[in-house]
Amino acid sequence: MIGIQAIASHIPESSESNFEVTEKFGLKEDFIRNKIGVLRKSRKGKDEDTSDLCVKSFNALQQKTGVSVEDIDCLVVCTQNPDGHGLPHTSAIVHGKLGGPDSVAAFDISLGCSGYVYSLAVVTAFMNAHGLKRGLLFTADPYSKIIDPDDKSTSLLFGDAATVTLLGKSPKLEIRKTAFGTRGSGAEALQCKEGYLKMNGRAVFNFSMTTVPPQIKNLIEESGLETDEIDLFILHQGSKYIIDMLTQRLELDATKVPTNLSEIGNTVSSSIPLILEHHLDTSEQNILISGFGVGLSWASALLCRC
Amino acid sequence: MAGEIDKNKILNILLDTVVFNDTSAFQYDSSFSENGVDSLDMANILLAIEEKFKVKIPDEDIPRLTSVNAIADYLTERK
Repeated sequence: MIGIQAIASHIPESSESNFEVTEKFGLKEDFIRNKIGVLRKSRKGKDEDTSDLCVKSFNALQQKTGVSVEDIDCLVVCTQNPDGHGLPHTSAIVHGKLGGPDSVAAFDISLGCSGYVYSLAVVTAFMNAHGLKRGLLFTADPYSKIIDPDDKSTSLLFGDAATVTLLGKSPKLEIRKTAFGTRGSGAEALQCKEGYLKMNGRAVFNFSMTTVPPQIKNLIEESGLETDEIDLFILHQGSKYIIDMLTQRLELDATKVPTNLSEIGNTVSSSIPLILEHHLDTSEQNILISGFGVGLSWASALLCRC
Repeated sequence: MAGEIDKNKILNILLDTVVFNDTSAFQYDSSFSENGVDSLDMANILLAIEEKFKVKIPDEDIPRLTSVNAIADYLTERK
């Protein structure tokens, strides 16, 4: 069975402080620190594109594992902010920059905050179905391309980053069970209009609170487990408030719910693998991941240690 | 919804949602904004009100929901 062998990441060195805009937006530092939870947002360089962030994460993966692009059968990029207009697909551009062989299956997946969970499910199933042995799943969704700096509801949240997950046989973690959801009727809550991200914060909050807990509870139950048998809950890092409220609604032990958004922000589909990267060689047996957001789309998966 | 709106239920939702320095000082007519209730707290409060009282509150009605009394009056109108 195909599963997760390794994860590497690239977080740009440059970042912007949210404390520099508290006066502009009439906000208190306490609100930034304890509700938004994002103190700094990572920012890619102006000359960097989505594919460049992917390449940098691959370089980090090579440093970690020694993997060669010559050994790769499958290369997927999860993004909704591709290079250019998305034609050619960003995965093809990454393939070209890495010098991949012609035999590689490369395609993009257009999903946001639910993207890592969906993509993991899609790519592992694709590889299993077609006898592919090694794959790279990139997440790279630099929202800095579409953020209006004068929009209080979006400009405080999002950061740029990229991750790459090496998928193959004899993995460290594999997917045991999944659950998916889509509510297209709520699509207007998060959309790109006239080049800028527009978000109805209340609608996104309500969606998160009402769809994610039931999906997670059902997934755990259908896996034949109890909530306290899940060792780690890696929730999409929408904001500190959303994570705190989900933790409350699910009655979780907060020590099992890691966060990482304070110095980088909400990195969209990268937020889950950026945390998971630090739990590949730890002792947690059952890890639940859950992504939710633009679409509206949500997905959860139970990962188990092999 | 039948019967009078129980303002204590609304107040309890508020106190469960927001951390106040002095909860005993919070009255039915206390202004949310003057007591540190921010936009995220408000979203959470309104969701809890919707779930408890089985009512959908459109965005355009939010500006008038400035206190426990105001919410109670609103819910009474919506009955």
